[in-house]
Amino acid sequence: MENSRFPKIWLIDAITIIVTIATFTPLVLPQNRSYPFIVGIPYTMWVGFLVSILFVALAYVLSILRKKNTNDH
Amino acid sequence: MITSFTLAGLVYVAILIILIRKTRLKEKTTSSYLLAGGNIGFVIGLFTTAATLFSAFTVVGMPDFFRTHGIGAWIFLAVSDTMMIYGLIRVGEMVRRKARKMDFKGMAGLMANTYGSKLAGYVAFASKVLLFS
Repeated sequence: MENSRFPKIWLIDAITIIVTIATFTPLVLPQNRSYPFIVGIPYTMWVGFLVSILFVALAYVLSILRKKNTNDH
Repeated sequence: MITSFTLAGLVYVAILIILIRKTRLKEKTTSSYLLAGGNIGFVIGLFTTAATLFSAFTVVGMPDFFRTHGIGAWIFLAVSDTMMIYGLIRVGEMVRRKARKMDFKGMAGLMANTYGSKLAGYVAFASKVLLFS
């Protein structure tokens, strides 16, 4: 069971690390630019919303994998 | 305004009483007291962490932080906190795995067990009290 579980966790970890690094690049924090707006919300703000939602989703997936692991033992 | 506050307060207290009665444990152990049984799940864990993080700083300090730093403050507030929740679950799993092998309760127990001295546990406990008070 361990073998099938670990690649999944490392995949989630890899996505998390990539998203973390991307958050602090001009991809999320472009200098002197606030467009495109979505319902009046500037770019960094709504991308920030998306990133937070993504992290919550990643944490949820991680907790599911962790629970599976707990039940396996 | 006061009526709305009173109503909201009463509803809140009623929900708390119902939940307390519903979740009351007959058998109390160190694990259930210190670690909520050792498994609180994702949703409760998320809200517990949020309640810990969203302190007076969030209410008073964050508006000023937004005023000074603009929307970049959102990255500091929400994004870094959600990142931290991921990290907590990830590191927590490793600590839990260790806990199963070593049988300890809480971080002070881990320190006492790792260093083989009760003093290490007391230092960890005291530092936590000082940090969060």
